[in-house]
Amino acid sequence: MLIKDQAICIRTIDYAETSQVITLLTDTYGKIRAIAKGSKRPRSPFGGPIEVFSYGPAVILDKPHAQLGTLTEFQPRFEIISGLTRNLQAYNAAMLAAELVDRFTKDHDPHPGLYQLVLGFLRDVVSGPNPLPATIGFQLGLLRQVGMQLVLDGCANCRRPYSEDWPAYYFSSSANGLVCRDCEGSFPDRMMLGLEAVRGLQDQANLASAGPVARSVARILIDHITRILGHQLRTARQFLQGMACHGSSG
Amino acid sequence: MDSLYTDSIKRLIEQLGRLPGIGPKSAERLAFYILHTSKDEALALADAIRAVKEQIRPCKDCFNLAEGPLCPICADPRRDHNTICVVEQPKDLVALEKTGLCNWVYHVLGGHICPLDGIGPADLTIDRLIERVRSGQVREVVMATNPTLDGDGTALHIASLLRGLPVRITRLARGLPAGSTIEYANDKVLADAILGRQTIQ
Repeated sequence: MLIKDQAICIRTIDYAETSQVITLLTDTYGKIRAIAKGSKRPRSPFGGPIEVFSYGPAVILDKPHAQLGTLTEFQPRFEIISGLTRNLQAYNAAMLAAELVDRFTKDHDPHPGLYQLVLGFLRDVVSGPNPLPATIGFQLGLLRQVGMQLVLDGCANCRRPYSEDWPAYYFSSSANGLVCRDCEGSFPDRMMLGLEAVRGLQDQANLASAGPVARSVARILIDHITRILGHQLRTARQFLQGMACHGSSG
Repeated sequence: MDSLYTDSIKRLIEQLGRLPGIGPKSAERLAFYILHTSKDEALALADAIRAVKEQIRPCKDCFNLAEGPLCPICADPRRDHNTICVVEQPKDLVALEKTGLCNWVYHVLGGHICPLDGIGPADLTIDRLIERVRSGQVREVVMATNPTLDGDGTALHIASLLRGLPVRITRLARGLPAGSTIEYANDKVLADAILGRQTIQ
């Protein structure tokens, strides 16, 4: 089957001396892994080695029972990569996003909207002054895409609608969202949240000028995702460290 | 097919076949060359391999390849020790030195940061570079990491650590190579050239 679709590269692995195995997130067909033969040759058919976050129209020869397809055409665009090479926070955030997409999706499992979510996120982090709210928005969007949407409009346990009049707000990873004070005792992993953090989780526009709150929300989400995946994210440490440095300097 | 060879020849072919760019046929051809060459010549090859494995160690200052505590570049007093050029691998250093334009000293990182592969700053010699800059008379750090996403990410990370220190941070220019034509340049090179355009003096 010949797949022609818009695709973004989210992972590359060198294969032999001149080729790469790349993981592409396509707009229509989900995640596809393919070999890019000769991509590292000086006269590569893809305009040079394929890098993570290069994106554009791709043609993949996808055999039904083969683990790897063959990338036959790819016309990558580089403006996102160019932006990421100028901003360390954006670079760290983008790497985290690439790992999250790879971990949360399965090969050939279409997620309509995910490609646009990733591309929109990358454009936001490259162009925006602070990539943190966009990263939080992306994580929440990804969870929604893969069917693990957080409950943020009420108590995830008793379904009591959220109100700013609640006496206290809690987040529980095992409850998958906000928890009210009446229910918090049932969730040993709950943590207390401030009102600003709750507002930030519900709408990332509220985090634009709230540095420490945004960092704490990002940390909560990474802890939550780590719990879901059952292991540490490779990119999380650098993202969190970069975030802390950025916070202390700015 | 394997039984055609004695054990020692088989072992030699196997070992040669592990080298990059050497397939089974080439390994056989090299093994037969070694077999037919004089004993002195063959043992000189073996001695050369043994010597590099036993005598080469990282330079204590820059982590370039050295046979003593310091590499020849760090030990050279005529070099400009106020400027450090940061490279990923010793091979990159060799390529820069071949231009004949570099009088600076180097710092070899031992790779680049690659978050997706779990390679972080602690896996490289970045801490030692920061120590060198803090403790010495360094006025400029030239980033010569590879012009890839991860190479640039590594340069950005190092630059973020050096920010606040009285040192100029630069990186190698990129774009169209001299003597080339725009018509045949690939998109990536053109994008770099456009974004890095310079004022004509």
